[in-house]
Amino acid sequence: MAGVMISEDDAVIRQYLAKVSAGLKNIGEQQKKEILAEIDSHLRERVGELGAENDPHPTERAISGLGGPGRLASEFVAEARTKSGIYSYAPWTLLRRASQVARTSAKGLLIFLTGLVGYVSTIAALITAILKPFIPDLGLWIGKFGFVWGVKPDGAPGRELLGRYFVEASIALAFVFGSLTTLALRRLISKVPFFGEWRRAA
Amino acid sequence: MPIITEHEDRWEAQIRKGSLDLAILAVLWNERLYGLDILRRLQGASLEVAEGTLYPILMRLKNDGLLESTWVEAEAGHPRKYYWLTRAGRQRARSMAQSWDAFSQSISDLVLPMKNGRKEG
Repeated sequence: MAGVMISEDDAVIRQYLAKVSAGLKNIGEQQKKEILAEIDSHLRERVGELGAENDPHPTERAISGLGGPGRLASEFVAEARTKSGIYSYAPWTLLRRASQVARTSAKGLLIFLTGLVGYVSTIAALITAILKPFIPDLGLWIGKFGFVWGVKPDGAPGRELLGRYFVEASIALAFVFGSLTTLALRRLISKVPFFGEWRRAA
Repeated sequence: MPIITEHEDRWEAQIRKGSLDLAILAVLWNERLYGLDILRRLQGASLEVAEGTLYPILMRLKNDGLLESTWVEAEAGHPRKYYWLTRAGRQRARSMAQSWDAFSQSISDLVLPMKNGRKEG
Protein backbone atom coordinates (compact mmCIF):
# COMPACT_ATOMS: atom_id res chain seq x y z
CA MET A 1 0.00 0.00 0.00
CA ALA A 2 2.81 2.33 0.97
CA GLY A 3 4.49 1.65 -2.39
CA VAL A 4 1.26 2.54 -4.22
CA MET A 5 0.94 5.76 -2.20
CA ILE A 6 4.51 6.79 -3.04
CA SER A 7 4.02 6.22 -6.76
CA GLU A 8 0.73 8.15 -6.65
CA ASP A 9 2.51 11.01 -4.93
CA ASP A 10 5.23 10.81 -7.56
CA ALA A 11 2.66 10.97 -10.34
CA VAL A 12 0.98 14.02 -8.82
CA ILE A 13 4.33 15.79 -8.38
CA ARG A 14 5.43 14.92 -11.92
CA GLN A 15 2.13 16.18 -13.30
CA TYR A 16 2.59 19.45 -11.43
CA LEU A 17 6.19 19.80 -12.64
CA ALA A 18 5.12 19.12 -16.23
CA LYS A 19 2.61 21.98 -16.01
CA VAL A 20 5.24 24.30 -14.52
CA SER A 21 7.65 23.27 -17.28
CA ALA A 22 5.06 24.08 -19.95
CA GLY A 23 4.70 27.60 -18.53
CA LEU A 24 8.45 28.33 -18.43
CA LYS A 25 8.51 30.04 -21.80
CA ASN A 26 11.68 31.76 -23.05
CA ILE A 27 13.75 30.19 -20.29
CA GLY A 28 16.84 28.23 -21.36
CA GLU A 29 16.86 24.43 -21.08
CA GLN A 30 19.58 24.34 -18.43
CA GLN A 31 17.83 26.96 -16.31
CA LYS A 32 14.53 25.13 -16.75
CA LYS A 33 16.08 21.86 -15.52
CA GLU A 34 17.48 23.67 -12.47
CA ILE A 35 14.10 25.22 -11.68
CA LEU A 36 12.22 21.93 -11.97
CA ALA A 37 14.83 20.05 -9.92
CA GLU A 38 14.58 22.65 -7.15
CA ILE A 39 10.77 22.60 -7.13
CA ASP A 40 10.86 18.81 -7.07
CA SER A 41 13.27 18.88 -4.13
CA HIS A 42 11.09 21.42 -2.31
CA LEU A 43 7.94 19.35 -2.80
CA ARG A 44 9.57 16.14 -1.61
CA GLU A 45 10.91 17.90 1.45
CA ARG A 46 7.51 19.39 2.26
CA VAL A 47 5.69 16.10 1.66
CA GLY A 48 8.08 14.45 4.13
CA GLU A 49 7.49 17.18 6.72
CA LEU A 50 3.72 17.16 6.34
CA GLY A 51 3.66 13.35 6.41
CA ALA A 52 5.58 13.43 9.68
CA GLU A 53 2.95 15.82 11.02
CA ASN A 54 0.28 13.22 10.09
CA ASP A 55 -1.28 15.48 7.47
CA PRO A 56 -3.81 13.35 5.56
CA HIS A 57 -2.96 14.96 2.19
CA PRO A 58 0.71 15.94 2.31
CA THR A 59 1.30 16.08 -1.46
CA GLU A 60 -1.72 18.26 -2.17
CA ARG A 61 -0.83 20.53 0.74
CA ALA A 62 2.78 20.81 -0.43
CA ILE A 63 1.68 21.69 -3.96
CA SER A 64 -0.89 24.22 -2.81
CA GLY A 65 1.88 25.91 -0.80
CA LEU A 66 3.68 26.70 -4.05
CA GLY A 67 0.52 27.87 -5.79
CA GLY A 68 -0.85 26.97 -9.21
CA PRO A 69 1.70 25.75 -11.76
CA GLY A 70 0.83 28.50 -14.24
CA ARG A 71 1.28 31.21 -11.67
CA LEU A 72 4.54 29.75 -10.36
CA ALA A 73 5.90 29.50 -13.91
CA SER A 74 4.87 33.08 -14.67
CA GLU A 75 6.72 34.29 -11.55
CA PHE A 76 9.88 32.59 -12.82
CA VAL A 77 9.41 34.09 -16.27
CA ALA A 78 8.84 37.56 -14.79
CA GLU A 79 11.94 37.34 -12.57
CA ALA A 80 14.04 36.02 -15.46
CA ARG A 81 13.09 39.15 -17.42
CA THR A 82 13.98 41.42 -14.52
CA LYS A 83 17.59 42.39 -14.98
CA SER A 84 18.88 44.50 -12.15
CA GLY A 85 21.15 46.37 -14.54
CA ILE A 86 24.02 46.35 -12.10
CA TYR A 87 25.54 43.19 -13.43
CA SER A 88 24.38 43.55 -17.01
CA TYR A 89 26.77 44.44 -19.83
CA ALA A 90 23.96 45.80 -22.05
CA PRO A 91 24.49 49.57 -22.58
CA TRP A 92 20.77 50.34 -22.68
CA THR A 93 20.10 48.42 -19.44
CA LEU A 94 23.05 50.10 -17.72
CA LEU A 95 22.01 53.55 -18.91
CA ARG A 96 18.43 52.97 -17.78
CA ARG A 97 19.65 51.94 -14.33
CA ALA A 98 22.00 54.94 -14.28
CA SER A 99 19.03 57.21 -15.03
CA GLN A 100 17.28 55.78 -11.94
CA VAL A 101 20.41 56.34 -9.86
CA ALA A 102 20.60 59.90 -11.22
CA ARG A 103 17.31 60.72 -9.49
CA THR A 104 18.71 59.78 -6.07
CA SER A 105 21.71 62.09 -5.68
CA ALA A 106 24.18 64.49 -7.32
CA LYS A 107 26.69 61.63 -7.45
CA GLY A 108 24.08 59.54 -9.24
CA LEU A 109 23.53 62.33 -11.76
CA LEU A 110 27.28 62.46 -12.41
CA ILE A 111 27.30 58.71 -13.05
CA PHE A 112 24.44 59.03 -15.52
CA LEU A 113 26.18 61.91 -17.34
CA THR A 114 29.41 59.88 -17.51
CA GLY A 115 27.51 57.03 -19.11
CA LEU A 116 25.67 59.34 -21.48
CA VAL A 117 28.85 61.09 -22.65
CA GLY A 118 30.66 57.75 -23.00
CA TYR A 119 27.97 56.12 -25.12
CA VAL A 120 27.35 59.26 -27.21
CA SER A 121 31.11 59.31 -27.95
CA THR A 122 30.92 55.63 -28.92
CA ILE A 123 28.08 56.32 -31.35
CA ALA A 124 29.86 59.40 -32.71
CA ALA A 125 33.03 57.38 -33.43
CA LEU A 126 30.97 54.74 -35.22
CA ILE A 127 29.16 57.39 -37.28
CA THR A 128 32.46 58.93 -38.43
CA ALA A 129 33.59 55.44 -39.54
CA ILE A 130 30.38 54.98 -41.54
CA LEU A 131 30.51 58.47 -43.09
CA LYS A 132 34.22 58.41 -44.10
CA PRO A 133 33.55 56.91 -47.58
CA PHE A 134 31.02 59.70 -48.26
CA ILE A 135 32.95 62.57 -46.63
CA PRO A 136 36.66 62.15 -47.55
CA ASP A 137 37.65 65.19 -45.43
CA LEU A 138 36.83 63.26 -42.24
CA GLY A 139 40.01 62.43 -40.34
CA LEU A 140 42.25 63.12 -37.38
CA TRP A 141 43.53 66.60 -38.11
CA ILE A 142 46.40 68.42 -36.46
CA GLY A 143 47.19 72.08 -36.90
CA LYS A 144 47.27 75.40 -35.08
CA PHE A 145 43.72 74.60 -33.95
CA GLY A 146 45.05 71.53 -32.07
CA PHE A 147 43.59 68.06 -32.69
CA VAL A 148 40.24 67.57 -34.42
CA TRP A 149 38.49 64.23 -34.93
CA GLY A 150 36.18 64.99 -37.85
CA VAL A 151 36.30 67.62 -40.60
CA LYS A 152 39.19 70.11 -40.65
CA PRO A 153 38.15 73.66 -39.62
CA ASP A 154 37.55 75.86 -42.70
CA GLY A 155 40.64 77.57 -44.11
CA ALA A 156 42.96 76.51 -41.29
CA PRO A 157 46.18 74.81 -42.39
CA GLY A 158 46.48 71.31 -41.01
CA ARG A 159 47.61 67.77 -41.65
CA GLU A 160 45.61 64.53 -41.47
CA LEU A 161 47.33 61.85 -39.41
CA LEU A 162 45.45 58.58 -40.01
CA GLY A 163 44.96 58.56 -43.76
CA ARG A 164 43.30 55.40 -45.03
CA TYR A 165 43.31 53.86 -41.54
CA PHE A 166 40.73 56.36 -40.28
CA VAL A 167 37.82 53.88 -40.51
CA GLU A 168 39.66 51.18 -38.56
CA ALA A 169 40.82 53.75 -36.00
CA SER A 170 37.24 55.05 -35.58
CA ILE A 171 35.90 51.54 -34.98
CA ALA A 172 38.70 50.84 -32.48
CA LEU A 173 37.95 54.14 -30.73
CA ALA A 174 34.24 53.26 -30.54
CA PHE A 175 35.16 49.90 -29.02
CA VAL A 176 37.40 51.53 -26.41
CA PHE A 177 34.79 54.19 -25.53
CA GLY A 178 32.00 51.60 -25.32
CA SER A 179 34.01 49.13 -23.23
CA LEU A 180 35.35 51.71 -20.79
CA THR A 181 31.91 53.31 -20.36
CA THR A 182 30.29 49.92 -19.70
CA LEU A 183 32.93 48.90 -17.15
CA ALA A 184 32.81 52.29 -15.46
CA LEU A 185 29.00 52.28 -15.23
CA ARG A 186 28.92 48.77 -13.79
CA ARG A 187 31.44 49.71 -11.14
CA LEU A 188 29.99 53.10 -10.26
CA ILE A 189 26.35 51.97 -10.11
CA SER A 190 27.17 49.01 -7.85
CA LYS A 191 28.75 51.39 -5.32
CA VAL A 192 25.76 53.71 -4.98
CA PRO A 193 23.08 52.78 -2.48
CA PHE A 194 19.67 53.32 -4.07
CA PHE A 195 16.16 52.01 -4.10
CA GLY A 196 15.97 50.06 -7.32
CA GLU A 197 14.11 47.25 -5.58
CA TRP A 198 11.51 49.59 -4.18
CA ARG A 199 10.84 51.05 -7.60
CA ARG A 200 10.56 47.65 -9.18
CA ALA A 201 7.97 46.61 -6.59
CA ALA A 202 5.93 49.75 -7.16
CA MET B 1 -12.88 49.54 14.15
CA PRO B 2 -10.15 50.33 11.62
CA ILE B 3 -10.87 49.23 8.08
CA ILE B 4 -7.91 47.98 6.04
CA THR B 5 -8.56 49.04 2.48
CA GLU B 6 -7.35 47.27 -0.63
CA HIS B 7 -4.93 50.16 -1.16
CA GLU B 8 -3.37 49.61 2.27
CA ASP B 9 -3.06 45.87 1.58
CA ARG B 10 -1.31 46.62 -1.70
CA TRP B 11 1.01 49.10 0.00
CA GLU B 12 2.06 46.51 2.59
CA ALA B 13 2.56 43.90 -0.12
CA GLN B 14 4.79 46.30 -2.04
CA ILE B 15 6.90 47.00 1.05
CA ARG B 16 7.30 43.29 1.67
CA LYS B 17 8.16 42.55 -1.94
CA GLY B 18 10.55 45.48 -2.15
CA SER B 19 12.47 44.41 0.93
CA LEU B 20 12.58 40.70 0.12
CA ASP B 21 15.88 40.81 -1.79
CA LEU B 22 17.61 42.41 1.19
CA ALA B 23 15.96 39.96 3.62
CA ILE B 24 17.16 36.97 1.59
CA LEU B 25 20.70 38.34 1.30
CA ALA B 26 20.65 39.04 5.05
CA VAL B 27 19.67 35.47 6.07
CA LEU B 28 22.47 34.16 3.85
CA TRP B 29 25.04 36.53 5.37
CA ASN B 30 26.58 33.96 7.70
CA GLU B 31 25.69 30.58 6.27
CA ARG B 32 24.74 28.41 3.33
CA LEU B 33 21.06 27.56 3.27
CA TYR B 34 18.62 25.75 0.97
CA GLY B 35 15.22 27.09 -0.14
CA LEU B 36 13.05 25.79 2.69
CA ASP B 37 15.69 26.81 5.24
CA ILE B 38 15.65 30.35 3.86
CA LEU B 39 11.86 30.35 4.01
CA ARG B 40 11.90 29.25 7.65
CA ARG B 41 14.40 31.96 8.58
CA LEU B 42 12.25 34.61 6.91
CA GLN B 43 9.13 33.30 8.61
CA GLY B 44 11.05 33.24 11.89
CA ALA B 45 11.61 36.97 11.38
CA SER B 46 7.84 37.43 10.90
CA LEU B 47 8.21 37.88 7.16
CA GLU B 48 5.45 35.89 5.54
CA VAL B 49 6.78 34.87 2.15
CA ALA B 50 4.84 32.70 -0.26
CA GLU B 51 6.81 29.58 -1.19
CA GLY B 52 6.15 30.25 -4.86
CA THR B 53 7.65 33.74 -4.54
CA LEU B 54 10.95 32.70 -2.99
CA TYR B 55 12.38 30.43 -5.68
CA PRO B 56 11.99 32.84 -8.63
CA ILE B 57 13.75 35.54 -6.57
CA LEU B 58 16.59 33.14 -5.69
CA MET B 59 16.96 32.41 -9.40
CA ARG B 60 17.17 36.12 -10.24
CA LEU B 61 19.68 36.85 -7.48
CA LYS B 62 21.80 34.00 -8.77
CA ASN B 63 21.49 35.22 -12.36
CA ASP B 64 22.60 38.65 -11.16
CA GLY B 65 25.74 37.09 -9.69
CA LEU B 66 24.77 37.85 -6.08
CA LEU B 67 24.30 34.21 -5.07
CA GLU B 68 26.01 30.97 -5.89
CA SER B 69 24.51 27.52 -5.39
CA THR B 70 25.32 23.83 -5.37
CA TRP B 71 23.37 20.62 -5.06
CA VAL B 72 24.10 18.58 -1.93
CA GLU B 73 22.87 15.06 -1.27
CA ALA B 74 20.78 15.14 1.89
CA GLU B 75 19.85 12.49 4.42
CA ALA B 76 16.24 13.11 3.46
CA GLY B 77 16.87 11.03 0.32
CA HIS B 78 16.79 13.84 -2.24
CA PRO B 79 19.35 16.52 -3.03
CA ARG B 80 19.00 20.07 -1.72
CA LYS B 81 20.15 23.18 -3.50
CA TYR B 82 22.25 25.28 -1.12
CA TYR B 83 22.81 28.99 -1.68
CA TRP B 84 25.48 31.37 -0.43
CA LEU B 85 26.54 34.95 -1.05
CA THR B 86 29.16 35.76 -3.66
CA ARG B 87 31.58 38.64 -3.15
CA ALA B 88 29.32 40.84 -5.26
CA GLY B 89 26.38 39.63 -3.16
CA ARG B 90 28.08 40.74 0.05
CA GLN B 91 28.91 44.10 -1.46
CA ARG B 92 25.34 44.52 -2.66
CA ALA B 93 23.88 43.40 0.68
CA ARG B 94 25.98 46.03 2.50
CA SER B 95 24.90 48.72 0.06
CA MET B 96 21.22 47.73 0.39
CA ALA B 97 21.48 47.67 4.19
CA GLN B 98 22.85 51.23 4.12
CA SER B 99 19.99 52.33 1.90
CA TRP B 100 17.53 50.58 4.15
CA ASP B 101 18.90 52.30 7.28
CA ALA B 102 18.78 55.73 5.67
CA PHE B 103 15.31 55.19 4.25
CA SER B 104 13.75 53.71 7.40
CA GLN B 105 15.30 56.49 9.50
CA SER B 106 13.77 59.12 7.22
CA ILE B 107 10.33 57.54 7.41
CA SER B 108 10.63 57.02 11.18
CA ASP B 109 11.43 60.72 11.62
CA LEU B 110 8.42 61.65 9.51
CA VAL B 111 5.96 59.45 11.38
CA LEU B 112 7.27 60.34 14.85
CA PRO B 113 4.65 63.07 15.42
CA MET B 114 1.94 60.54 14.58
CA LYS B 115 3.30 58.15 17.20
CA ASN B 116 3.48 60.90 19.80
CA GLY B 117 -0.10 61.84 19.02
CA ARG B 118 0.81 65.47 18.29
CA LYS B 119 -1.21 67.49 15.84
CA GLU B 120 0.61 70.15 13.85
CA GLY B 121 -0.93 73.55 13.14
